[in-house]
Amino acid sequence: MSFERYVTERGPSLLRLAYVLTGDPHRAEDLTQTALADAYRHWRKVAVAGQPDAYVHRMLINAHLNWHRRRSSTERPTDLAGWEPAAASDPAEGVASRDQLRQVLATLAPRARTALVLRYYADLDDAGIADAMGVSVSAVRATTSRALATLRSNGVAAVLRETP
Amino acid sequence: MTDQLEGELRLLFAEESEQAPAAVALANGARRRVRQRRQSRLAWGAGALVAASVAAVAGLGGGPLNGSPAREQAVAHSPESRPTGALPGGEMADCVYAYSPPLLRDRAFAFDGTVISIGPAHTDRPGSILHVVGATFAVSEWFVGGSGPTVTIDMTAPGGTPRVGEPPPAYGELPPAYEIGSRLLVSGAHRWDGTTMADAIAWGCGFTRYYDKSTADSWREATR
Repeated sequence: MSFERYVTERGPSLLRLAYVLTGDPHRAEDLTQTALADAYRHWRKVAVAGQPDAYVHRMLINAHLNWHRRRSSTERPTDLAGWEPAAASDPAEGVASRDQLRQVLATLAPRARTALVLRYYADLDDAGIADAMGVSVSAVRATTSRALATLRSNGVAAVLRETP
Repeated sequence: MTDQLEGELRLLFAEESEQAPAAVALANGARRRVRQRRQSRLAWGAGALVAASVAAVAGLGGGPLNGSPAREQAVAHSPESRPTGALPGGEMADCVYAYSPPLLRDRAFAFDGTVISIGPAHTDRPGSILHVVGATFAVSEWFVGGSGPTVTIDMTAPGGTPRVGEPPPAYGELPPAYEIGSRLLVSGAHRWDGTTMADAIAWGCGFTRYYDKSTADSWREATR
């Protein structure tokens, strides 16, 4: 497969993945082009290996996590001042909202959110996520499990339970 | 419960993906980025030679980048002959974003300032290939990021960056792109993905250009 054909076929979905990871159109484009530029430089090897998606995903996730790592000294968790866990005992207040879920997701560590995106958006299994993130399968399981637990402990699940 | 949470995550991410920007010319962008990286490596390597030449000549002349005939010649720009537009190399650079004042809002910093001294760079790290110089500005106006009356920014050396494939010009062969007293509209990024002005670097792709009132007005308008 030529590089052009690969980008034509897979570019839009890569860009969407980058956007779900970053939530920022400029950074999404930047990440996608960074990953594709890397693939382009090594395209002969990438094409021969027969799994360009796996390679490009790895580059994209790596660039994404590196960006967060470099910013980690100044990054602050999203302010949750406006977010109150839903009181499970009071269904009247259990108004589910994707915005609330989005807010809690934003408080997760970048690796945790990335693992969730790869699982629930990219539909990768544990091995695929491990490959993309450059970690072990057991680390993926632990990260995903902790991330879901965090969402639950912040009341998201309680809110969702009350969703009609 | 967990199934519902997982279902909501799927829906949320799918919903977010719908907001993604359209994929336009991704292959060209990737190729351009590779080409740019290669050119930068070549150009900055050559630029380092120019910077070293500038420093050596300045050292021999008894002061940092002062006293050379070329410098005096360039300082003597009359208002009518004052350069305008991008600094040399900026327009030629194969940038991801073409110059456009509205895009300044996305730059890490932008200001109107006058060069008051030029010294060593502060963002280079061992193995760095840029070898820029540190230019200190008296800031007339901040448009984006930053604050205070002065700031030091790493920039391409005054001798500029030679075109790829061409030998670097000998010092004095060309007037420096800027010098002490030059008033510039400066914009750029944080190097090493830093977040403070201590990591700030400006180059052509950051839209840095010579000051003129209408351009300054457009920067102010775009970043208001």
